[in-house]
Amino acid sequence: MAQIGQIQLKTLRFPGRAGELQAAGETASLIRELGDHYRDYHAFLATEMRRYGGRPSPSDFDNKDEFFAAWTYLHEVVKAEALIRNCMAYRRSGRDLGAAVDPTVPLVDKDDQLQPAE
Amino acid sequence: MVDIRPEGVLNPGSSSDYRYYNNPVHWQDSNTGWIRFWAPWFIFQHVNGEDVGQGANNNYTEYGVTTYVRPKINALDAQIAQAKSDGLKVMLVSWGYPQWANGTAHLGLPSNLNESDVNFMPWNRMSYSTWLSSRSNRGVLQDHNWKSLFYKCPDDRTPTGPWGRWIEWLYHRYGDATHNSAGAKIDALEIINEPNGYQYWPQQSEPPSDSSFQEKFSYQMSRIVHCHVAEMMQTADTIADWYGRTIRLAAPAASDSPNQSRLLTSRHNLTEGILDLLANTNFSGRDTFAWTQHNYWDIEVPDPNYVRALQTAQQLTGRWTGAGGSTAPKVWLTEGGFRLQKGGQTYTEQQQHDAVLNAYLRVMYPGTPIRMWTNYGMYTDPNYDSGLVNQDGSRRLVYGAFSTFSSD
Repeated sequence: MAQIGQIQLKTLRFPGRAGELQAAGETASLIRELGDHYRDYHAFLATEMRRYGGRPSPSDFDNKDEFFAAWTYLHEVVKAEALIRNCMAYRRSGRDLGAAVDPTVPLVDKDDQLQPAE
Repeated sequence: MVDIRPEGVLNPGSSSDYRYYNNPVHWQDSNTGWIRFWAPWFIFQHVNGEDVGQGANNNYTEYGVTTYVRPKINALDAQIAQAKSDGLKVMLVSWGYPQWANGTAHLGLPSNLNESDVNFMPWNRMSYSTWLSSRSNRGVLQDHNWKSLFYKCPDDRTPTGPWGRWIEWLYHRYGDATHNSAGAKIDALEIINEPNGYQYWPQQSEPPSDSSFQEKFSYQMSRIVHCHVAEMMQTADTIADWYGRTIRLAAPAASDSPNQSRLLTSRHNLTEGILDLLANTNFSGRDTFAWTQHNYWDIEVPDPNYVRALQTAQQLTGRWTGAGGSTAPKVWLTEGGFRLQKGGQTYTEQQQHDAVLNAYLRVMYPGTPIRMWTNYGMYTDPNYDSGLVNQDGSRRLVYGAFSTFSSD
């Protein structure tokens, strides 16, 4: 679990150094790592999104619990993208970590794939 | 539509219980096609770990007071079923958050006599002057003038979290008449109530931890409530997707207040923020998701230059992917009214009639994007005196005007 600002991740675990910091609960270091290496962690999240093939459809699931769990995980992937964008903005300009994500660049494109902030 | 007020569920048998006090006749004579009921989550599922209305949630005793939940759920079921059999369409609004779900259970029940309540994140719930007055009158404060612990939003707003499960319970139970013994089926589920007003917190991110206690009340931080609401709309839409979209969803039930502070978010800013985020995440509510707003300000504090409800419709144009679509978005007004008593002033029934009629005529014209008009209360609430009927059963002047109104 990680909580930075208003964004709480329950199940998503970042890879590499960020994952270690997340597991250790070292929030300040985690913010620095995610913010300074935004592109690496965006690439991980974009891969996660592609792995799920975009938006879940009820017809692809045998029961509602699996369907809702898939949605919940994709919620987390999208929220994680917002979180790493916030960390990057905080590291670069001191923007409030608790702020809503800057809406200038959409989080996902028309094909439901994560978009990079830059 | 007329909102029957929560008392019909909280206190079955009261004048806000559809089954009694001539309510069906009042609905019929006023030519009202819709009724709005309330589903108080903090009552129906007071205890964690049990299903709604089951086990420990059937009845519970706290501080010597026993609350019997099952009769309240049964009363809601029966009222919905009777309203449907009378030919009405039914909207149900989800109300509040139980303390186990929003992380405030350790504080005890909400009360202006509860020290833990008053001191829990007060900068998100009241002004500094209110906090000061609560301190100087410890234990005798009469005005419950801050946001209740029942209005703190849960951190988890996903389909598998507590709030998502509650919405799923409502959707499943009332989306199909065979899912409850009364045969109650609704037409629309409004998932939240006035998130930018006094029934929701926090509105903004937390003030700096190194700021003084007093400073925390005045800090204007980043607005976050729209993030919560957008996520809740997506979660509800996901639930509807699984259940085949059998009923309409509705949100955000925004207050049309222009006020912006640490405690409130303006209608304009809430709408902008939600639309931005929904677009950012490819939300598509289709025709089964209605955009809703309240219009007390348009009625009680009309601006000669604009109508807030129509401004919202303009904001939705080109952006909203729910009912009406982006080219012809529709706005349902799901609460509103004119109070005879407010701000220490008393108004006449004629003033109420004129204010409601004037506001109605400003938005309900051929081709209008406004698709629903609602009055808060058939029988008036003495504490929120906007009803169409006095507590003695006599009909107010506004009742006659209301009977000429039309809605979807």
